[in-house]
Amino acid sequence: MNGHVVEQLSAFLDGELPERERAAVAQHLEACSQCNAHLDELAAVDRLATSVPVEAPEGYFDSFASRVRDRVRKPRRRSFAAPMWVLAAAATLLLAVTAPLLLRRQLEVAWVEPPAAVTSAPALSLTPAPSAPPSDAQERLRALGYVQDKLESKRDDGRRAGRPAEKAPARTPASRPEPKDEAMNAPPPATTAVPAAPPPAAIVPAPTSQAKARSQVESDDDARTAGVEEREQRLERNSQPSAASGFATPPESAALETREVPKPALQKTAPSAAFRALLDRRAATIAEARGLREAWRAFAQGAPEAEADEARVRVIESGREAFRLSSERVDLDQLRRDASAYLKRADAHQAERIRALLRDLPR
Amino acid sequence: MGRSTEKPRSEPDAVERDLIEKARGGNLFAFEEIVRRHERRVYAVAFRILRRHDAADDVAQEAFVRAWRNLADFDLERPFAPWICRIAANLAVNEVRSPRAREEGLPEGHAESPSVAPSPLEGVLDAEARSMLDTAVAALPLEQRAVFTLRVYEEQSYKEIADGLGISAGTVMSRLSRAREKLRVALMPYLGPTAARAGGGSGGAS
Repeated sequence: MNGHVVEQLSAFLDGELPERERAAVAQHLEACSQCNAHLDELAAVDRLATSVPVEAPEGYFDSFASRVRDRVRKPRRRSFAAPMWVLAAAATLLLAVTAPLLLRRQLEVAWVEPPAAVTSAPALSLTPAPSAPPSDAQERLRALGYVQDKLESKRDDGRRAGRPAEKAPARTPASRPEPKDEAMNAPPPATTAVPAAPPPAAIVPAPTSQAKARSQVESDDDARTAGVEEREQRLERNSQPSAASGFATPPESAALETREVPKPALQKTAPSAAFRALLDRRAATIAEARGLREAWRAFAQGAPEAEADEARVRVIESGREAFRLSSERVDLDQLRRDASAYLKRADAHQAERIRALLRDLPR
Repeated sequence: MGRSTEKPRSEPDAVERDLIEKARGGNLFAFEEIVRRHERRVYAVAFRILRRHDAADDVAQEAFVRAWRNLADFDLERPFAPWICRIAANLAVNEVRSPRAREEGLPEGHAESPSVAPSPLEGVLDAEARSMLDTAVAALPLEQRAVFTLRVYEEQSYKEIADGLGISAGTVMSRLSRAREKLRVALMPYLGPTAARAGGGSGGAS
């Protein structure tokens, strides 16, 4: 180095150097033709680069806004979007378990919206079916015994309940599939659904992370965008790119801790907190999908039967998601093994569902 | 080819503010109007970083979806475009390496056919220079392209870029410096006084 300031020239060009450095560079430039030439060249790089416009294919923007609208209304299940039927299930559960009256009102309101909005997302057909349409979620929850018997007579209402939940524009905290909402997605009235002294371990993490998420929201400014949050999540992921089982989020630790706690009394009226936490958990990356798969597997081992069956199905479904994300043989093989093991069980209540999933797999 | 994507330096205007407020209230039509106002710019940011139409399309759409979901966090006193562009850049950087991108065999730095088309503006910048630029930009690491795009095309401050991409301002500074330096070396023959005039679209920096 002979006092040249080459490394600072880029920031100097942008006017981003602290004053003292800026003054020093400016002083150096007065005397150094070499650095002056360098600076000119850097400026020329910018000019050259900005002289070339980006061109989109003809007609590309004609339908762009409507495609965004479809995506807002009906997020595809993919690396970006959360599986809406899970949210629908959570919402349905919330409604069915806690407030039948609210449910009825909700239906009236929600059905004012044209149903066409839901069906107009062509992208949906591209997604490897996360299988359960929302109405099915209701069925499954019913099968699990989570829907109270007195609601049986409202079965039709219940069927329809899934759709409004799915269709609700992603504005309410409960349906915003953002990472930061992970904790918030646990239905707030959950505490009323589980009045009988839930395992502390299952409850503690949720409010904590929820409070954290909320304080994050409050401190948000222009700078703290969705993107930033996304990045924060991703940084975690990047630090352990293939940590399938090392992936510990509050919901999972809750699951692992609580599966040892027997709670048969809760089973008929409400799913366990750990179960709900897992239901709420989403997988956007390979590691997350694998982590979720293993979390369900762990959960299934100690869970009450109704939840265990669902958990075993979830093992397979999250395994399917892991394979979809990774396209790796190892995930496909695991998926086949899990599905095969499930189908061999005498108590495989959802065998048909798994067979359907298998039919969609590549040969 | 379609129309050139635009790069307006948007200020918060009353109409836009009104649209955003409506969108915040759940008005999807208002939001669609916002989308139409910014779609070209957002797509351009995504494309300059990703250099593939399909990937840029995906990221551009998703950026708006994220914006919709996070409108409550948006500061109405600020222009919308830089915010949505940062979201797009962040998605571009973080999603391109996602499993999905790999699933679709998207190699980093791969350029899809002619990524840029001649514009009548620059007679001086010949096809050779354009090709060199294209190659040089394609050779930049994704992170450097993202920083370069937000700074040079979107004219965002280091702090804005840092916040948007979740890196420090110092990292922005060094990435940008390295990107420019690589481009400078690669494009040396075109950076003389003659080529300097080529920047019709730059607005005449310095």
